[in-house]
Amino acid sequence: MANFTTISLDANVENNTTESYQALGAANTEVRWSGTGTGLLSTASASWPADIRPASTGNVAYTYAFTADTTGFGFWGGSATAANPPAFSNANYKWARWTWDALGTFASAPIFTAYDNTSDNSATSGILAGTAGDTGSYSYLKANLWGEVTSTSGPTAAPTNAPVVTDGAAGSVSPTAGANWATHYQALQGDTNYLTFPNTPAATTADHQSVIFALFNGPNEVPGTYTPQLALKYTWT
Amino acid sequence: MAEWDTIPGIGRFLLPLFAKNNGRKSRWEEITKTGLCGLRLLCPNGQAGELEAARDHALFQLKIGTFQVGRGTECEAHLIGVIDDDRGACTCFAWEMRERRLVGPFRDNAFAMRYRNVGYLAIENLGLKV
Repeated sequence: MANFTTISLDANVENNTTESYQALGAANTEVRWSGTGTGLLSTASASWPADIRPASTGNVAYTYAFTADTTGFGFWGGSATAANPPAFSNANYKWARWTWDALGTFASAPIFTAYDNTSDNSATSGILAGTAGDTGSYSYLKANLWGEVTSTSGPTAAPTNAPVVTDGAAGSVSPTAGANWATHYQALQGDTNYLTFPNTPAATTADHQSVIFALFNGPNEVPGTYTPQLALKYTWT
Repeated sequence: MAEWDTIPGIGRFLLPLFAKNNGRKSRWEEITKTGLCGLRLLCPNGQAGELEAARDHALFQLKIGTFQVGRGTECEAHLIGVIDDDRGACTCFAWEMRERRLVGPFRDNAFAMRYRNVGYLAIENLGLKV
C-alpha cells in the first residue's frame, strides 16, 4: 500500500530556541489540558483532575503531551525531559508539528481538525460545537497553521493575532502559502470548520508542518468529560 | 484495494493486486498512465464501479482517511475518478468503508472536490494532465 506508515503530532517540550519533540499518535498517547500547571506529569488519564467551570471565558492554561498513560511532558516545558508546561502563550510559536514519513503520497492538501472521540467522526460535543454565549457557536478548540513545510521553513515568529474565544470561520481556513501563519486562529470542529494546508506536500517525502493550538472554556460550557481527538484528515494515492 | 496491476497483453484495465498474481505490483504513482483507458473499483460487497477515459492521464484513484492521535489512521473511502473536461469536472465512484456501500457515479471537480472536503487534487502526484 502507498499509505504512510508513520504520522504523528509532535509536541515541542522545550522552547522556540531549542526544539525537542515528543511524538503523539500511537495508542495511549494524548494531548491533555488542565487549569493546573504542576503535579500532573505522572497522572493517569482516568485520574485526570476536573477543572471548575469559570465565571468568564479564557484559556485552559496548561497543555500536556502524554506518550503513555502516566508519562507526561509539558508543551513548551523548557526541557527535553519531563517538565511542567508554562501557561499558554501565543509567543510560544514553536508549539507542535504534524509529521509524516516518506512512504506515502498525498493526493490533496491535508486538513487539521478535531473530532469528539475515537469511535466515529462526529464533532457535536459541547466542546467542539461550542456555545452561542461563549464562542459564537464555534469550537472551544482553536488552532493555527504555518504556511509551508518545515524543510522549506519553520515558524520564525508568532501568529499575528493571539487566539480569542470567538475565533472561527465557516468551512476551511488556510494560511497563505509561504513563511506565515493564518491571520487568525481557526475553530476546529470536525468536517464543519477546519484548517487546510495551503499546498499538497511533495510525493514520498518525509516532512513536517507546524501548528499551534489552544483550548478555551467558559461559563456556558456544559460540564462533562470531553475527549476531543486532534486529527489529520488526508488523502493518499 | 490499494495495489494495482495491469493485465498482460491487454494493458487497458487496472486490477487490485491478488496474491497469486505472480507478485507483480505497482504503486499508483509508478504505473504508466499512457494507454490507460479504464478503471474498475472492485468492492467487498461484490459491486463494482467502472470508468472509461477517452484520453491518457485522465483517470485517478485515491484513498481518504483520518489520522487521530491515539487511534491511528482509518481509511474512510476509496475513490476512483475520470477527468471529463479542462475545467476539472470529473465523474467518480467511491467505496465508503464505514457505510460499506458503493456511491456513484457522481459529478465533482478535481480543482475543488466537494466529496468529503477533499479540495484541490494534487494533479502531479496523481499523474493527471488537465
